[in-house]
Amino acid sequence: MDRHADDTPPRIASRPPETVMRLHRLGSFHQTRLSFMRVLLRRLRRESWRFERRAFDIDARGVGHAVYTLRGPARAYSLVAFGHDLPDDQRSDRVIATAWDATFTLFDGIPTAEDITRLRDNIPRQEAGRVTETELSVSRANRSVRMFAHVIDALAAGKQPDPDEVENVGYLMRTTAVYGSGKLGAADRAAIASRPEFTAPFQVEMMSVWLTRAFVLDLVEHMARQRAPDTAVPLDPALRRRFGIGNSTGLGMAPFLISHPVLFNNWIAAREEALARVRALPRANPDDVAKLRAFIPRARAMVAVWQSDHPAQQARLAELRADLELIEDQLRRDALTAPTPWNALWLWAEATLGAEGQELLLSLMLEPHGDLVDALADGMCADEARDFAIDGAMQVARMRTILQDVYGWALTVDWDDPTQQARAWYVSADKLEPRLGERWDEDITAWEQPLAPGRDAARLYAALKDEPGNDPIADLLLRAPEHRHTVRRAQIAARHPYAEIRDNTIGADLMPIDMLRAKLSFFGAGQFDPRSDRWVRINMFRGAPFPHELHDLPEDDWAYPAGPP
Amino acid sequence: MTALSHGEAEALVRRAARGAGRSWGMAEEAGHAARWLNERGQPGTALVAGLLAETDGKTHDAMMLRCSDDNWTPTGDAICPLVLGTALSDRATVLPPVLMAGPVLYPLLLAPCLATIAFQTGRPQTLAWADVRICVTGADLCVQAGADHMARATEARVTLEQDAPAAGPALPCTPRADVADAVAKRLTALAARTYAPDTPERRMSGAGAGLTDND
Repeated sequence: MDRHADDTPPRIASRPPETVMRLHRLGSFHQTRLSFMRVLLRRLRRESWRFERRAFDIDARGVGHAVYTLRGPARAYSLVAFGHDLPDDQRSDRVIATAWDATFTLFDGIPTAEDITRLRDNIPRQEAGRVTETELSVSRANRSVRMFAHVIDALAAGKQPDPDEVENVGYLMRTTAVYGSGKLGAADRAAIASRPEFTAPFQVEMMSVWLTRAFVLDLVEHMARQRAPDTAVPLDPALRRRFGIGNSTGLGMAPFLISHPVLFNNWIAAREEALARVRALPRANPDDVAKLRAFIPRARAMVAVWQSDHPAQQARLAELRADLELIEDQLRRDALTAPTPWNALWLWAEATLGAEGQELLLSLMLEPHGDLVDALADGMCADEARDFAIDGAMQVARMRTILQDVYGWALTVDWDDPTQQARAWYVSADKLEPRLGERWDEDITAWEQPLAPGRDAARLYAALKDEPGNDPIADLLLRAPEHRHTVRRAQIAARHPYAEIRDNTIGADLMPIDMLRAKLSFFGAGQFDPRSDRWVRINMFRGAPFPHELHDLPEDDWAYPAGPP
Repeated sequence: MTALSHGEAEALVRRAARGAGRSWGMAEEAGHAARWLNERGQPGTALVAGLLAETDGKTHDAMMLRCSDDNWTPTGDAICPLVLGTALSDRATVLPPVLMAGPVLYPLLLAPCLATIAFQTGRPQTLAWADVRICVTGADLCVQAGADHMARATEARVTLEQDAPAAGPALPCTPRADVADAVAKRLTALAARTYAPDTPERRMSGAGAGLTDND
């Protein structure tokens, strides 16, 4: 008799990259506990960061400047905001815009008067200006014209805005770009990466957006008071939290996932490890089960307000809503009292739900397990310089094996079929705006960016076909440097299993929003609203506490709308 | 003179190298090399600008080398340092104790690839040309002789030693890449070759949105 059977459940492996790194699935990701917005706010709360509005010099039209400061255990950071009076016909979310309703920078410390003067000369110009290493990010935002007017009108008249309208739109301003990591002269990532508050990815950008949200809400209340000092009221605190910061995301974000393979790998690996840890739990704690059940109506509320005019997204929303009902039914049937119950639930989901439902369940399953998974956020950054060097001693035979393992799907594609190379990514001379063109209709191949790793892997594979298996790859690289880029990627992918998207990124049926949504889900965005196949509106920090109330509200409980009372 | 972030300088050099006709992989090497030198206070950006001006439009074969034993010679007039540097780092584990190569353009541009060799082998790399002698470890650029003019060499025969003892002070890191306006202008012009000219059709269809946003 085997007395050791079933004492230790088997270790659950993370899902394989062949499953996870598909565009349709990446485009089904939802925010999780590991999303960067939530990582930020948990830290700020845990470390008791203090908030101070140091300056608010804004007139009745919303023009002027403000300084919003956060003080942590070791350092302080300040959002410097500039309000402008933008004519409606100049309002554009595109990279090619040259004026905005509001412009921002996150300053490393507390700015002096001289700093403010210098920043006033540069920040409103955005890409046309310069910043220095004391600036950590540069960003801009435009109003939701309709919502802005509605809120100011209501508050000025002593009333609250219409809650249905607030739920419908969800923001007063949307950022159209948040530049960090050395762009426009700002501090390089390397200069701040060792600060604990910035170890996790995009913390600078998330901090900037969170403070921007605080500014925008103060701004509308201020403008209402300016208009009607005797009758104006502030927003009700709970309603106020229903405003996030919108974001208008276009193609610029999509190449990022391809250009940063080690970083993207680390995000995915953390998320998959989190899922694997929960699945591996031998038992479900009844409190955790209760927490999960409590999230179901909140998830339903989230999905209910998630609207889109886009047919493809509407179909996916219908699938998601149906899947959520199935999850609810399953949780009624399954009390999660059997051994490894989370894994049983997950396996049921894999057999029953679509990708949207599975990825939503993943997010829900992580919610009660912060103690188990939150620390994985520390592993989501990357020192990409470490993976730059190529191992020239790698043999041709080994490289062929890597190409088969990682890019096997690409080796069977007929790249001469025009639909497989229907698109080409390029950069426009106009403000360096990233674009996706139709290769066979437009004359753009000459300017194509290296964003087709599958096709390039197939080319490398063909070049290696007749090479002796034990030759070092260095020989090919010396004769044919055009494969160097791909060799580097393949060696990275061999070490980092989630580094490569395993789908064609230049085919006729590519939906760039799949890539945008993947990245935005890691940011923590909810409410994805594609405006086209390459342009999406989202909401950030919706439901989150404001800086002045961070320590008064429950920890990290804002990502889903509040449940029914 | 403009103070660029290291990221900006690297991106500019990479795009310029591509604009000058290099493959994307070699363009990445150019950006990486410039950044590595910039971070250690050397004019990496200017060196690559000079290199690209001299080799603009040249084929790979014209800048190539013949690796034979311990004396690598050019197939054309001089070896491109990016070609030589990557050829060396791709062969990091099989280099002879002493290797001569050249003539090579802008020899200081070899240093970043030597850092790769040092990292992969655990051995500091000592490079010498004329009266210059530098030692490169995985992270550091140490100068034993010729610090004040090593960035000025535009062509030299070099000697690379595997087992010479590491010596010389490591150059300190700098947070910004100072780039002369003339250099920035040349690189920007080369980088511009990688951007598609804007047309009304491309403007409307390529990015997926209209031109005004009022909601």
